[in-house]
Amino acid sequence: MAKVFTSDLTFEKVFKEYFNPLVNFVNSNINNWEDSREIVQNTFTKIWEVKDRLDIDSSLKSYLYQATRNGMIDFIRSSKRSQSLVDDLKKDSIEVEEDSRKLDSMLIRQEIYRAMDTLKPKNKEIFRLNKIEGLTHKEIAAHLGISVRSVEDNIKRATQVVREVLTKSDVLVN
Amino acid sequence: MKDHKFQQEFDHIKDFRVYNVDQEWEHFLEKVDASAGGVSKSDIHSQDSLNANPSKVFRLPRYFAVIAAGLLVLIISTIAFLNVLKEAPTIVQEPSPNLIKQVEKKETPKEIATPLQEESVAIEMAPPVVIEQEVIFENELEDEYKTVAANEVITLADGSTLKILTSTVIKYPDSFEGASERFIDMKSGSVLFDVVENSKMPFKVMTENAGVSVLGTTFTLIAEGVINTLNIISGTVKFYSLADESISLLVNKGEGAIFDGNEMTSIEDKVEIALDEVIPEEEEFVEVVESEEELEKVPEKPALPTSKYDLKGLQGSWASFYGENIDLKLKNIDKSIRNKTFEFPNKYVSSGPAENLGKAIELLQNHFEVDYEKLDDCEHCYKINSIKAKQ
Repeated sequence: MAKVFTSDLTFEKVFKEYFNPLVNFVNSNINNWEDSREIVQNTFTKIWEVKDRLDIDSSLKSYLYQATRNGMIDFIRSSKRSQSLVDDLKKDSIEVEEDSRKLDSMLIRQEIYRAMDTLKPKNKEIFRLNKIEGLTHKEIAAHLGISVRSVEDNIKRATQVVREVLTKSDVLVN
Repeated sequence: MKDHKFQQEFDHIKDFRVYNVDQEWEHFLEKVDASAGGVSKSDIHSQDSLNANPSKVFRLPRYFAVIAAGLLVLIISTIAFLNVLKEAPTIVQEPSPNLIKQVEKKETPKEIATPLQEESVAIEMAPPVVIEQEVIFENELEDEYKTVAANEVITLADGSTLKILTSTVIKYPDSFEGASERFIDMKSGSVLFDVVENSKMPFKVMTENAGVSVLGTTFTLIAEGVINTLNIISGTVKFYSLADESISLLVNKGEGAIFDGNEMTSIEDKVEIALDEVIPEEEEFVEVVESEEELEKVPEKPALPTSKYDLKGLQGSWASFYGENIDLKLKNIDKSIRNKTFEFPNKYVSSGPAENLGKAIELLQNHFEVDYEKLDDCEHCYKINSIKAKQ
């Protein structure tokens, strides 16, 4: 039985890689950041306890998804929140595929954030103001004292870079 | 497919919250340590490093406290750095008080506590990161806009002409040498463009908030504040929003479109009225007026930009945006219907307030038989009982 966590793929690495996508995934279901964070922390704690006995058939990602989803159901049940939510989540006939796509989405978004970190400061700032703060090109131009044209160019360039980074990583592949 | 996925996630990155994983990892270790006693700490270290010495670790000698202090400094500087660069909700404040308490609890000797405090103060007072001037230009344009009076004709380096209809504020280059595009920046006014064809160098006009991209064609563009009115005399252009390129239309000969900053619509009779309102009647308009006969061919209904979706995709977006307000209950739906693609307006997929949900469901009924009910206990919540093929 090959160990899941090795000296290369340490528990710490897996934790840091999946923490944000999993928290965002849980939140997309229960809409509460604090609870989501707690659920993911608890899930990892549980995995930690059995890490040496772990033998995974599917991918690590599927395993983490399943474990987190179970943790989310347990948490909701024990905290007695929205009963209908629990019912929906418990039902086996729920399209796991569609729900697990949410995790894929979160992994992609994490990559986008990482790709943003590779951008040059001004380029990144313009991009961030548009995509995250939601300012229009005109507002950014006014805010930074540059032309709308250069705002547009910067966003185009940043998008290109982010897209390239994402294509190179494997997040866009199913 | 990949591109669509990328674009979807791209549009939602502002919804993604980023926690500090180093802090979360520390928090996790504390939890594990607390639940399993001192023994587990040696587990952590033996797993992640080859030379473990459990007893040393357990007794937390000074050098470990130094490492912890150094880590704390690193975390604080990362927080400061992240706070400057990312104003998006990054939850970093919470865990740090715990960490600081933790360090204090472990009886850190005074000589370590003091430099730590000095470091934190130094970091707080550090100036914010200066954003460098790294703006990328394709065409080096003149810095100033020119105000050009009505009736003047500007001839560009490639032979294209700009007939100024009303006083226009505009920027254009003297030459297109070395350029990949022919770019005109039109702040306001109205212009009749006659563009010489050049497929290798697209001709682009940009107003405050819209863009027109052409290869070779004749068209008028009126830019008034945030309202842009485009009329095509010949050729085909792409008309798009600068803020959101997915809002775009291909406008053909004899057609027109208006973009008001939010919605882009094809226009028919409004054309004549718009021209009358904005532009005084002048001889030059005879050209434009004559082509109005062709304008009768424009489509009947103003169209919202649409894309192809399937119910799965719709559910994914709706879940992100409207959350618990709607659940398509895909599991109850026949697979063939679930996978069926249909045209659906982008506006009702992934943007706007919860109020849009009602309209969105209505629009869904253009493609399917939707059995749904509005819920009482929530303002814009709907429950879908079934979705079947349209009879």
